[in-house]
Amino acid sequence: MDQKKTVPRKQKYVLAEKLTSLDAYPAELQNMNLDSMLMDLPAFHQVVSPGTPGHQVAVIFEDDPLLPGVIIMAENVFRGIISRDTFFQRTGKLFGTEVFLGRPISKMLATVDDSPLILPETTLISLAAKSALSRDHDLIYQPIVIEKEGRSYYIISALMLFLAQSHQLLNLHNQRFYTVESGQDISIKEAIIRFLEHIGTCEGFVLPMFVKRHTIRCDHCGNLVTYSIVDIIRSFTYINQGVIVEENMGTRTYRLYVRHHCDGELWEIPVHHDKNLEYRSQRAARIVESYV
Amino acid sequence: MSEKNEQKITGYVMPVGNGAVGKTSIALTLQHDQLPPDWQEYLSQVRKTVNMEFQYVTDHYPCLSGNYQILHQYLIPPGQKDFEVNPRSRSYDDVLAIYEPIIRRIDVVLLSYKLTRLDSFNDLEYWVEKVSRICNDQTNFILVGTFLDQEENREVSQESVKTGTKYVYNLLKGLRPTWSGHCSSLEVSNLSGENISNLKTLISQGLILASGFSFN
Repeated sequence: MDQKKTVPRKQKYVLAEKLTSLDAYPAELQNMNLDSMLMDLPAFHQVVSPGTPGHQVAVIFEDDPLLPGVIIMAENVFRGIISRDTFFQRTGKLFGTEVFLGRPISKMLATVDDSPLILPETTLISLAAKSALSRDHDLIYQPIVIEKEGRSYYIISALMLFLAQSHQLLNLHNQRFYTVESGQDISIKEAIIRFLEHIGTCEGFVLPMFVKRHTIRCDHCGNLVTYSIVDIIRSFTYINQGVIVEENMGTRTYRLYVRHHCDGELWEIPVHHDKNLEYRSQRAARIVESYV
Repeated sequence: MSEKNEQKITGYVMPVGNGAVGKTSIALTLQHDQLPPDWQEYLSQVRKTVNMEFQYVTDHYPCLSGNYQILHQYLIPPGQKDFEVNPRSRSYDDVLAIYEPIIRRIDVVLLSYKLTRLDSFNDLEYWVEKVSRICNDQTNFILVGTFLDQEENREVSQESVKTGTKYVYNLLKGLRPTWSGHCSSLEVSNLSGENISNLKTLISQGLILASGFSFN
């Protein structure tokens, strides 16, 4: 189930979702997690020989505006890279076009003093970002070379790496947010089993009782809040924090805590349901967690 | 049958229950056959009970065995539990500690709760245990749900009341195995007077039974 669609969220989380869904960013970035590696990133494999004339490299860069650089290989031996920035910096200087466009790209490579950052494809994104940022100040934005199996080389821009790390953080943030609000993504069946195990009986319960939607009004923000018993069970990692069984006057009632966001904070609204899980009453909402 | 031949009965009624459920208002409403026009305003001025309050209601109850003139004497304690009081007020226990030695008997207990507050109904268990200490084996219990005029905000279902009445009966049997009283329930509105006359009759019947008389 796509949990994100069912969970109401605050503006800042909407912003986070917009960021992650922008078409401009590759789809691979959406699924970044702490275990993501360089191999998970979209990389370029534009290889030229040292003898390739500069004007041909210029055409390559013009054809693909996102290409961060070209890899120069001679007989399967890695010689270096010419980044987009370096190429246009060199050719943009006085007599640059005359010096470099008509001559082999190796001539330009010879003017580049610093060797590129080469990392194995199994490097974690976070460690790669750290290595990239550890470079000299003027080299921080230079592309990173990924060495894959069989000594093949790929190239990614520093921006792509930093974006990947940014998505990692966003996903972690959202994961934290959903965990707090929605607990676990469990099926209706699992949720019901968890509830029945918690209360210690399954007598008299039928499925519609658990999925029926109830609407209450939050006394803090005034908004309507819709929930089902299953929603409540899902929203607590430990069910005994959200479902309290009360035995009074010969009747079993349930005190449940409906979680919802208002004014940038997580609130819980205590509601009472009778033995047939019918809504009976609600009490004043109380704050659970405040986000900064 | 003339009033001279009426059997006179005096009985003691004690409404108990959480604070603000309408214990005092029940006794006040029972005094009127027809509610005055400014009744709502009058009720709104009823203050929290901080000591034992006393009210009297007279009722006439005709039946086959003879007519009864029944004087209900209401002893209304505060509805605050020990842990709910502030230094300026008294709890039920505080007040009972003062009056218990002079309370002769309690014939009818009104277990009062608000139909619009589930916790007031759930707390009746607490009140049954408290009041059972001053009851006798003939004491009758009536679960009185107030605020019937706020049906749309009802939190206590009729099914819960039915189950609760049985539960109170069994609870009392457990607390006092020799108890032989009755347990019933009724929902009333002090504001509109709905079901108040039925409550009066039910209390009168309870007082007749507790006094050792019968309807036959």
